[in-house]
Amino acid sequence: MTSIAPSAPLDDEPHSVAVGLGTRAWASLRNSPLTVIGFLVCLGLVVMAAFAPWIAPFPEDAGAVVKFHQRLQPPSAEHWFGTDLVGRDVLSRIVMGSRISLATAVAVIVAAALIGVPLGVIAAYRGGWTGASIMRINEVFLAIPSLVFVLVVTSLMRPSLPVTIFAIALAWWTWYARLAYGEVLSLKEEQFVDAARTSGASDLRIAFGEILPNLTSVLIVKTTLDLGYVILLGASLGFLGLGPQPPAPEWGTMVAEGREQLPDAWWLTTFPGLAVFAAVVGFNLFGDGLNDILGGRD
Amino acid sequence: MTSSAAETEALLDVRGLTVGFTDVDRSSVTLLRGVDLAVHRGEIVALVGESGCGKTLTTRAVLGLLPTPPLAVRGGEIHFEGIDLLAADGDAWQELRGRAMTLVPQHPLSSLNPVFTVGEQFFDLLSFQGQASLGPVGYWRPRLDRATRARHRAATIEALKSVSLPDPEGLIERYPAELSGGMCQRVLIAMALLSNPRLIIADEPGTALDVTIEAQINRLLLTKVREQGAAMLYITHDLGIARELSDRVFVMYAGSVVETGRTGDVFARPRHPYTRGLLDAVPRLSSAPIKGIRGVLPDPKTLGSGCAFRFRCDYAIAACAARTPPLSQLSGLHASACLRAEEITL
Repeated sequence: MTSIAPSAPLDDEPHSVAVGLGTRAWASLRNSPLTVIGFLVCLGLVVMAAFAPWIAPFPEDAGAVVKFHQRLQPPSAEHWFGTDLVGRDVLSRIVMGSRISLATAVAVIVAAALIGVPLGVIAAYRGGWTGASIMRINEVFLAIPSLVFVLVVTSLMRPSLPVTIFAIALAWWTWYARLAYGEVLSLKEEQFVDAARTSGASDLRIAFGEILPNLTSVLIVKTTLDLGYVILLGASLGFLGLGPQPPAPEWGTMVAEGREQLPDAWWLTTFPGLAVFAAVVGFNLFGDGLNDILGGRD
Repeated sequence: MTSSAAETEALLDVRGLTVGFTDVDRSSVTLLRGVDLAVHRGEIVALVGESGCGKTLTTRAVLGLLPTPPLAVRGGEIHFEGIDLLAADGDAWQELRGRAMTLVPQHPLSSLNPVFTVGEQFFDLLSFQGQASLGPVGYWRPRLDRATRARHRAATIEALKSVSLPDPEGLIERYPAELSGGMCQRVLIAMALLSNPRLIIADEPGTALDVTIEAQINRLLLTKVREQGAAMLYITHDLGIARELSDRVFVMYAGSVVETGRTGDVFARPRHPYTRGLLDAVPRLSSAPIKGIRGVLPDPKTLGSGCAFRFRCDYAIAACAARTPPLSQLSGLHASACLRAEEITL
């Protein structure tokens, strides 16, 4: 053997020096203007929702206000997006409505992830009968198209915002369970899991302390992308009259209300529709960009 | 048990360990065919053999981490400090793994959790040491306690220093991907030594590293194990390393131990044709061409009774096929599982 001193200092250089996440994120953003656009749209949406009453020119228009003297006015300097059947400012209603859409989306995603992820982790980690049962139940939920499922659930109850959130979350957890299941299935075969087990870690600790943190980046990407889709589904429910009830300024509900006035009062449907579109595209672009930054798969 | 009995008793005593699985065609396949292995306190034992002979499988069984199913222990005993682990109630290993027996793994780069810094991984280890199972409270309490954090941090820095890692304060903040293979292996060695284990199992700890680093790692491991007075079971296919490190050696072939003895004796006077073959297959800086062992490892499915090496052995006779020769003592600690160990000159 070589004549290296018992505790000679290291002479092998680190073979890869990881670039800091900040640097990588910046480089990635510079190369991808779409991510920046997505990020700005999302940021705009969050700011809009947070400060809605201060941003909306006529915040009181979110409620059951009647201003017949200015009904169905086309977009103008005073009312950028025009006014609706009873004279409420459409822009104000869209701004105030962003709170409903965003709150729905966040609540649904949090609930779905809290139900789905632990179930997926347990199913994959335990395997056997436990895993099979969880995943078969999951598939039963998946087999029903989510809109139909949500329609059935909401129509069994009186339509309202909590009911919408509950119904969508009930349909949405399956995706989180499947995502976690797939990831954990491959992660549990990793060497570090083995190493943790040899160092005396319990199953609970390995599953949730060692494996689960490895899901962080995929979950961040998934939740970001999903925020857009849930906003879309929420708007669809509103459009079908199963979301928050008028006079709540829900975007889908607004589209439904304005549908009668087409094609003359086009602004009643176009602007809420564009708001939904912007939110979905924004979260999609941002989520996609995050996927690149966090080194996820396509 | 008297103290003298405790001293003479082996730390780890594996007797007739048989491991197999049932194949899809319902045929029974035996992978470990009665492994006998003992490690005494403070002793360094090498387990050598070619790839696929069951070295790693043996260590998995010793650690109680055989993938069951499909694999199952079909027979034999594993005694650790006098306790038969296979017969014990519940998971006897849960109390031992990471405390009394630890592992230095084969793949240093992938054996650290990629999403935690070195410091966090030590923290985890330090906070669950001595406790079998911890719920969320046990997970979060040490993390929220400033004194515990400071204590664990100091212990981590101490451990990293002890394996000659430069800049331990900086290292604590780094992720495994930022470290080299040698550094990862040093971190893993520090982790394995953390609990002052009685037995360290090193499963080819240098195989994934390049030769100079491998030599450093082995040196370090040897020094630290001696320093702590622990015993080490060192798994390797490299006879040079086995000769350098170990006090005693076990040579495995096709799922059983074919020769054992003091390292010096076995290497100087091998008493099994397989050991001879392995020694002849070591490259030397002479002009003589390397002699290999003809043939390949037999398929465990078709391996019936009789000596498993007879198909590749130059000394095989008809009697070799009749029954599986047991490991029989020749002199002192030297034992060989060759029928003709006494009559042939290797």
